[in-house]
Amino acid sequence: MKTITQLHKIREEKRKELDLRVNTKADTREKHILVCQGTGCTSSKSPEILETFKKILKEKGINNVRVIKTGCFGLCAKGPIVIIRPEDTFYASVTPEDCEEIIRNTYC
Amino acid sequence: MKKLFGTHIVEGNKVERLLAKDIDGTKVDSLDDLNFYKKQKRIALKNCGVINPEEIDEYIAFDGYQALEKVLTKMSPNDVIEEIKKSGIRGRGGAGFLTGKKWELTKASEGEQKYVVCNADEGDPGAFMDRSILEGDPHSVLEAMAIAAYCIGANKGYIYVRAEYPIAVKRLEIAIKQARDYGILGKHIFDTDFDFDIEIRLGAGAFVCGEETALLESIEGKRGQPRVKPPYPANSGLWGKPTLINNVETYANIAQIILKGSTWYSSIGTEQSKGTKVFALGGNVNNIGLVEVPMGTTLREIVYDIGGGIPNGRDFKAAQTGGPSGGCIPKEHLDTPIDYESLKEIGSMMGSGGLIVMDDTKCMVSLAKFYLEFTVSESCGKCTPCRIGTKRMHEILEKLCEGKGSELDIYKLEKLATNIQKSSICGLGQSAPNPVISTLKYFREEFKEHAIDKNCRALECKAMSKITIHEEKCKGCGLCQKSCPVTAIEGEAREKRVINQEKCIKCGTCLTSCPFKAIGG
Repeated sequence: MKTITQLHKIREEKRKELDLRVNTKADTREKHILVCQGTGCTSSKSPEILETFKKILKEKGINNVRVIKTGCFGLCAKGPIVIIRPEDTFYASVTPEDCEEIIRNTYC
Repeated sequence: MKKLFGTHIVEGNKVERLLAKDIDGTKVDSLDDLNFYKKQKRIALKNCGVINPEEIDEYIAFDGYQALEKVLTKMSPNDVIEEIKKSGIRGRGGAGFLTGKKWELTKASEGEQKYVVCNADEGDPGAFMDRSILEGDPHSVLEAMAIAAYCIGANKGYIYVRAEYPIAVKRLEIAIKQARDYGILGKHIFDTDFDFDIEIRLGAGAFVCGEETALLESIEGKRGQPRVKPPYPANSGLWGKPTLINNVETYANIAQIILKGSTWYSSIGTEQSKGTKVFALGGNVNNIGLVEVPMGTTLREIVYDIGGGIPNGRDFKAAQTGGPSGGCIPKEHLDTPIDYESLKEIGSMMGSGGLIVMDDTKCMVSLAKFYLEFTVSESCGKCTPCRIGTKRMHEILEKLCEGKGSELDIYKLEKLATNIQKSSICGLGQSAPNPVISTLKYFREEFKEHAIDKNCRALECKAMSKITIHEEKCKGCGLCQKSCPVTAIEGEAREKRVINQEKCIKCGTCLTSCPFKAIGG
């Protein structure tokens, strides 16, 4: 159970934290790797891609990159789709084998 | 891999080979640069692909449940209904009834117990709009249902979603649990006297259960068959109580209307059709996917600018909107603005949002047959015109496709179509003949060719198609010969080729292999 005040606080804090999702110029050292988990991308191994990203980040001890499961980006023909925020890089037809290279390039 | 790793640790680099490419082959750095997104406007899909649908906090971060709070603490039910009415939003399930009006009618309906229902029984072949909203932003539907419940005086809601959507169901379950944990569903929501809770009901996948009264029957645990209307659900719905039923996409717009205002919403779209519409773009188009565009966007813009045109350099022939209840839109209407009225005028309908694009290799008689096959198997059987009539129509279409039809069959088809339209109980039967009526309207010549000349110009009806190589256009390159899977193409190097009709299986592979377009029917 949350009070109205608590909900407002969640909104305020979380919005700041997630600014990089919608603002390409967000002032942050953090990066979010968004992996589509809609039905289309799921059917072409996107859950495996999500797990692979998490595993690699853990192995390398990278803690400023987060992997996020999201809904559909719309361009299902090019799935599985991976988007890196804040810079908004759009990767198409990604396979689990590509994850390492993506992290290597995104890692800062 | 190892070698690359050693030389490539650079900050903020991009993996070139994986970058998305536009249709012209140019690599695109970011999502906004893709032509696919440029003409889109996302309202219902605002959070899809932005938030994690399994985290309520992420929904809250992007103004989630702010509309519900505003409604419960600052607005009366009448204020909200007035706002929804002023926005001009109409039902996104297909029929396009004014949402605000529906809310008003259900509110005005007498009854101690009322219900709010979400129709998530998306069944059109090729449609996945509601599915994507539920998978990408389930809380937006919960929030809107709570707002609707407050307006009409309900305390209980049901989401009727098909069991074939396991991811959507799972995310809805998670969302409902999280909303309950936060006290956003349950008793005394936002410290007011408003109580509301939602339950999920799984559908077994019958198309007819998308019809609102059949859906209600199914929730009640009965066989999914439509009721005779009136009375409408607003007066007598679930267990005979006043019930508000809206589609997933309609709900997904509500919170935005409350937060940004009806003036903002009604500034988008056309005179009679406000806001945006989500389409599931499929078929012979380059960018298959989910698009949301302002009402009034033309079909040409959707197919060519957003959809990236037709693959393999083929020509646009028609687009089917509204699935088995809708109709086809031919090339001459490519510039029709897409809204409820314009589509109706040209013999199609908005429907829930399936948009199937077809190129010139598609036979329109076969298309009509495909949709009739669907309605035949999905007809619930309650009323005779739909149960038997669609079956007869399908048989006639089969005859035509096999080259065994006659002109009389076209006449019979038309006669049957009007009778079924007039005499079926529910929307399924009443709209089942639409694919036949609209293809006959725009492609009557093709029907005649099937019936009289026994010819299918698209070469799709194998029983009567004959593929030939036009001697004057053939350059003797031999590519067709290489592509033929049954070695039915004969001829020596640099000579004009000929198809051995006895061996030919009419697969059409050679058609696309010929660079000189020398092969045809």
